[in-house]
Order: sequence, then C-alpha cells, then structure tokens
Amino acid sequence: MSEEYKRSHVFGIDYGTSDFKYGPITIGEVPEVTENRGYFTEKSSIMSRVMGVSRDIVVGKELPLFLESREDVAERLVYPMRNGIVERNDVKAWQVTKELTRYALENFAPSDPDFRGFYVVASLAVVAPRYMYEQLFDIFGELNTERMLVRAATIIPQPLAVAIAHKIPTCVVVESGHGNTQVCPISMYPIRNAVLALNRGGSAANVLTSEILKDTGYGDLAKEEKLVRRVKEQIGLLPRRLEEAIDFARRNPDKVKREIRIEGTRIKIDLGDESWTRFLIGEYVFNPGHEIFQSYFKRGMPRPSDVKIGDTYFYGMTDMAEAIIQAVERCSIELQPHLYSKIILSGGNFNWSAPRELEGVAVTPDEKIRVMLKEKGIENIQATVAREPTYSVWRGCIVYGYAVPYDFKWRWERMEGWLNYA
Amino acid sequence: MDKPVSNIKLACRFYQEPGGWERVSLNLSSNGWIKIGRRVVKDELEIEYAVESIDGLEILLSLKSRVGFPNVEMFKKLLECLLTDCWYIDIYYCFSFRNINVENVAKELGLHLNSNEVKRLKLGGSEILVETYPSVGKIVVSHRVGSRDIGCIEKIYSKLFRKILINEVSQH
Repeated sequence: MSEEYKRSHVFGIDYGTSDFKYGPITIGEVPEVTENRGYFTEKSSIMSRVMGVSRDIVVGKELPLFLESREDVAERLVYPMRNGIVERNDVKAWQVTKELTRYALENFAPSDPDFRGFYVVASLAVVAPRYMYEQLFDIFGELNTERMLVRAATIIPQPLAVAIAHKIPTCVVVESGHGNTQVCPISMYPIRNAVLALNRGGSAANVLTSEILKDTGYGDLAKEEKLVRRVKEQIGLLPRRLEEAIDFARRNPDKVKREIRIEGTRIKIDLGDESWTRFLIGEYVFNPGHEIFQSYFKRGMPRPSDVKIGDTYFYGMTDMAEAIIQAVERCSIELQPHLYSKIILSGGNFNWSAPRELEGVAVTPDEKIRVMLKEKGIENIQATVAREPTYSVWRGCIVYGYAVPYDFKWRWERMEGWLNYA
Repeated sequence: MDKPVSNIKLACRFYQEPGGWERVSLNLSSNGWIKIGRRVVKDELEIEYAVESIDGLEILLSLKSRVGFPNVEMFKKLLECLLTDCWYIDIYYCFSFRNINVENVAKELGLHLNSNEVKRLKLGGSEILVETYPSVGKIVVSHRVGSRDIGCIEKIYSKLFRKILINEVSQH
C-alpha cells in the first residue's frame, strides 16, 4: 500500500455530541451530517414482521421513518455521546456507535477491486478516556469482517483537529457543540491537565429558547426540540453587553422585532414586545450565571449542573471567559500570553451572526469573548471563529490523515499514528 | 432540476524536491492573484491552501468559484500556472445533487453505474475515474493532469461536465 493510495482514501469522522459528520477527502469542504443517534426497533412486533424490518438498530437519515410513539422513542432512541463520553459498559451506546460508523463508511465505500479500505481519522472529545479509543479501534476491526472498509485508523481529540485545520500549533481551542464545551490549550499537543469541560452547549440555549416561546404564547411549539433549535438559530442574538442590549431593544423595538415562518407549515412566530429576549439566548451560552436568568431557574428551568463522568468534571455555570482563564492558568506562565493571543472558537454553538442594523449591540462570538476577557483584565487577545465552525473538526481530520505518512504506526504513549488492519 | 453544488480539490505534486504553499502562492501572485493569508483570489476564483504532506512533495488546495463552477478557460490558465511549479496535479471534482437520483444522472451521462460503482473512462488521452455515491447524492470525477496533457480539460468539460452543468440531465 502506498502513500498515494492513502492520500486519496482519507476518511474523516467527527463523533459530535449531537451531529455525526463524516466523509472522504474527495467530497470537498462540507461533510455529510446525520444525527449521532440510533433507534432500536421492536422486531418482535407483528407490524415489523409484516413490513419486513429486519434490522436491530436504525441509524442515519432514514431513522425518522421508524420512530413510533413518544414513550417508545424515549426508551429506544439512544444518543450515545450526549456528553462526549460513552460509558465502558453502555452496550447500547456502543452498538449505535458501531452502526453509525458502518453506515458512514458503507455510504462511501466504492465497489471497485482497487479499493483496499479507508484510512479513517476519527475525532473524539478531548475528555474521552483511553477505553473509548480502544473500543473504537475494536469497532473498526470488527467492521472489516465482511469486506475491508478500514485499512488503517487513527483517533485525535476534537480540539486538536481544529488546531490542525487552522495550522496553529499554539492556541486555545474552545470547541462548543450541542451537548458540551471543551476548552483546550494546545502547544503542539493538547495540554490534557489544563483541559476544562463545560456541561453545556447548544442544547442549553435550546432550553432557554423553549422557555421564551412558552412565555410568549407558543407553549405548544416549545415541546418540539427540532423546531425550538430552528427558532433559536433564526432569532437568537449575542449581545455585546446584555444590559445595554436590553436597553437598546426597549428604546428601538422595531429594530429588534422579527417575525419568522417555519418552512412547509402555517406556523409564524413573532415575539412582539418581548423581542428583547432574543439577546438572552446568546448571553445564556456565554454566561448562564447572569442574574437575569435566576427568574427562569426559579420557574423550573433546569440549571446546567456540574457533573462528573468517568474522571472528568463538567462544569455547568462557569462563564466562557472564566473557563478560558482557568484553562490557560493551568499552563506555564511563559506560555500563557501565547495562548491568549490565539483563541479559536469552533463548533456549531459558535454560529452567531451580528445583523448590520444591530451593529455594536449584537456581536459575533469572537468579539463577545474579547469583551468578556477584557472585563476580567485580560487584554491583547486574538479570538477568531473558525470558518464554518460546525465542520472544522471534520476538516482537521482530513488534513491530519493527509499529512501523517501511511507507514507511521500508532503509538499509545503519544496517541498518534495509524493502527493498521491490513 | 436543482443545479449541483461542486467542489474541486487539487493535489499538486512536486518533482523530487519539496515545493510548498509559499512557492505556489508566490508564483500565483506574480500572475495576478492576490494573496490573503492561506488563500489567493483572482476574479471569480478562490484557492485555499489546505495541507502539505510531511515530505513536502505534495500540497492540497481547494478551489472555489463565485459563479458555481469555474469557467474552462480560467481553470486551464490556473492549471498552466500551477504546472510551472508542479510535476502533475490530481484533480477531484465532487458534485452534490439534492433531490436527484444520482444513478439516473450517471446513466444519462452514459455511465450506467450502479450503487457506489467506479468507472474508468478515456477522454482526451487521459484516464478519468468516475465514482457515484447514490445514498449521499454525490458524483466524484478525478483525473491527473501534467503540462503535456492540459488539453484534456476542455474535452472533459465538453463531454462530461457540460451535461451536468447546463442541466441536460433530467430527474427521471
């Protein structure tokens, strides 16, 4: 097998907390995306037999076709990586992970005699323990029993993939997805002792959006998670400073007001006089500890809690700037200014835009981080949002797979190289 | 029919000694391209540098066009410029189709491909690899070009891509 073969058969997989992104090097800049979940079918039911459903687990784009009642969904729909970590003995979660991996590879495995398997670069949360690496390597091996899908594989932490995609060897990567946020200082390799994980991501903002919808008379819609997510993406705003933004919204209600329509339905959403709450959605992602959110917590909205999963603590309420400071301050003093000077914001939870008519009031995530860090006495920082932040981990996987020579063998002590299955 | 979204990757190979992005971007700059960090732009085209192999003998570039798919003349000029530095270039064109049966598209292009099949064609003296991935609605076309066979680009455009790009293929 040659270097040339490897370069044209690199395959990236980003095991995100909500979305699973995958695809080979040849497909360009945007991977395929499906939800990181699987549905365990009820094979014994008479309808399953009549309809010819023979699979135990359904994953991928056709999954919604198999969903049954809400009670069944709660029991049989498994999201294996809600926090980025799969428990060692969580059999169902590992089954789903295996099926999704198979689904991704089979979608792109060419039926060509010259095909000898992909060089797979998988990416896991930086807090993923070693047993997750071992189990994933086992899965790649098991998938080769029927045909060679995986020629060789390697696994890299998601923040490192982002740094690789941007070719920045010394930086802080803040990777914020649906279920968690990882703050990871990098100096050639991730500085694992300095990593800080937050138990919140885009899903926390969905919860708040749902409360806002209830308060404005759309309680019936607030139960539909997908719809709430779409509403969040369309109306959510990130304020430079929350108090100033609310004041602006109350003085200029027409500038903040926005009606949205849900495509393919008759649904229209207009927050009316409560349009100032659009700013709360963005603020909550960055700073859920702001006193304005106390009223929501008092009315029963769940507060992002501190949890311990495996050996890792995920903090719920730490604000984004504080999380960066805590992570950086665990590194050597000499390194700290270099880390502050390159902060990369990546992941779907940093997809916030600032409309021109709200310039100076609503900001982009890099500007928000700059403002928050400045208020805490950190200056001379350079924060950038990754281009299309949702896909930057997958792109990093592709870049890494392309660059690492095909004969560079996997080493557990450094966690790098290819584990060969040929 | 929806127009397909296209993505082009260029794997530029250097002869025996490492080349690198600096060399390539310098060459492009002297041919009217404007360098902005890891990107160079000219008219409707934008090239983004993705990665360099560890031995320095190959770099991977992404090519985007503001008008969807690059004009054949501009694309040819770009390749000629790159080939003053490079030994050869492997070009990967990925077409993504929404709501279209890719097998039908392939069939109408005269390829008669089944699921995830790979076909090797000869066009303008070059071997063209065509791969179809119906479950994800994609067709990947790839071929190698050196300075002596640059003329194949026009043939590939007129015989293969024209049908896709001017919507000659139908949905059924």
